[in-house]
Amino acid sequence: MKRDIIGVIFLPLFLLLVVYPMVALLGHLNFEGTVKTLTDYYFWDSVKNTLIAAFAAALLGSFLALGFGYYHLFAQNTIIYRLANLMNDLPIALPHTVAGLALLLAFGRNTFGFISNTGLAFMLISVVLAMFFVSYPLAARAIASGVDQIDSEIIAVARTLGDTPQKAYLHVVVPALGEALFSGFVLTFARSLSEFAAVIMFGGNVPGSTQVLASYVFTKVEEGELEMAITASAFCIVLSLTIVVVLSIFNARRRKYA
Amino acid sequence: MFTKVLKKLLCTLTAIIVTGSVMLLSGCSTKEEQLNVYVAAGLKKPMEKVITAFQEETGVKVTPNYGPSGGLYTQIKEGQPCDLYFSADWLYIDKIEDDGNLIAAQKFLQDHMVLIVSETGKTKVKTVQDLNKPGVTVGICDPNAPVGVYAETALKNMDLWDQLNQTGNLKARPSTVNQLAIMVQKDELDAGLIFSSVAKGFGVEHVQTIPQEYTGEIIFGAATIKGGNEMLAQKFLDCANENIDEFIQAGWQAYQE
Repeated sequence: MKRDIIGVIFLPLFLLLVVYPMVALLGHLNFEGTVKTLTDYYFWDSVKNTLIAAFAAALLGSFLALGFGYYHLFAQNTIIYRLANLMNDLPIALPHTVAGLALLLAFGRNTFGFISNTGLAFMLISVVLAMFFVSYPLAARAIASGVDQIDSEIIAVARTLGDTPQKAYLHVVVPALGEALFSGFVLTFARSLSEFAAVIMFGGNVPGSTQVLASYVFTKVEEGELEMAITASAFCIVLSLTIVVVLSIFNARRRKYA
Repeated sequence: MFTKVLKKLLCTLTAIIVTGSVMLLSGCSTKEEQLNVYVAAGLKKPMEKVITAFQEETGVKVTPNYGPSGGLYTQIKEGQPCDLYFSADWLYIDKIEDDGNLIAAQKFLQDHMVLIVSETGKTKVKTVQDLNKPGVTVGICDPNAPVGVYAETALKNMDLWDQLNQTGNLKARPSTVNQLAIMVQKDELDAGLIFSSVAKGFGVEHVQTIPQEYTGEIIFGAATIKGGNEMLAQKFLDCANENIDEFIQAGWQAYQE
């Protein structure tokens, strides 16, 4: 009885609010739009840029999140940790155009002019930094919850055996974080795929060199090229699904042989 | 036991949702007159003054929806309630007519495209030809915004567009005219092409006005939309025409044949 009530409420709502919009989008795919998009040179460039940048952003995000995990475990009372924890909410709450503007003012040519005539802005690396900025908190949270799940006795044992906190973290905790690291990576990667407001403002959005898939879709919607926008969105959905599935299989294998 | 608690909880929840939605619905259907006006984001400041004046004069509640002209057009096409639409590009008025949603249209304001320069760009860029000089960094809006289409058209007509892409001087294609204005204002780029009204609004310096023969007529149009309150929309448009000085002060020109 209990299970039925949940099923009766959850299933229809889930199907209506989550699955149905995706199906509706895919249902509007048409042949002409598909051909037009798949033969558009800029479309494939944006796919390439997106994949490279999102992968780099997810790597960078996971790497930094590991550092956050250390503070989460051993230094919760420090100012650094409190600040870092607060910053985990900010980029998510901040309107992303503002995030892009913040990055532009921080890394633009007025401060980083020694790098190029646009500073660190308007290059592929800017796209990576923009994606990283908005998606890093997801990795940090994933690692923090992974750290919480580790048996505190194991860490205590390592500490009594003479490990410094840093050693204990690197040798005992990090190797056990595989799962959390994986989900952090996937979350950051997926979030990066869909980011465009910050990317447009800081990355440059020049077709061929710094345009990403999400802003390609945005442009096509605003231009009224709905058929192309729908094809590109469908591609986006398939791409994210494929990546998540492939990574999950990879992860399952790794666990089996670990 | 648990089932009972759960059931009770569900009943309360349903009750809350039902009463809530009834209240919301009845709130919407009160007979107070109101007007949905869709406005291209660039017109926001002067339009706010018109809205205040109109509300004081008539007591009608005006609900403005500011956004990119193309985005607003898509909303109208998809059937969102709209009485009056101010577009930054006549193209969308034509599209509304093609969709069969147009009652009447008026050429409302006129604008010009100007070449803006930043603190650093000032020394390097004097005319549009300078955009292709080595080391110059340029921003042109994305074609999703009308200003991007005008700029691209103008540069193509002047045979500068292909070269600009080949030199790699084109560094940014922001999605709104305001974003490009900010980039130049903050000296992150050397130069860009935007509307003179926007340049004035952001206080950025311009060094050249692009002749209309290259950009084509830049017309901000107003359209009354089928299914809306036609009388009231026309009344609002009259009010906007009476207050045209607000727009002229902000950098536009009244449309003249």
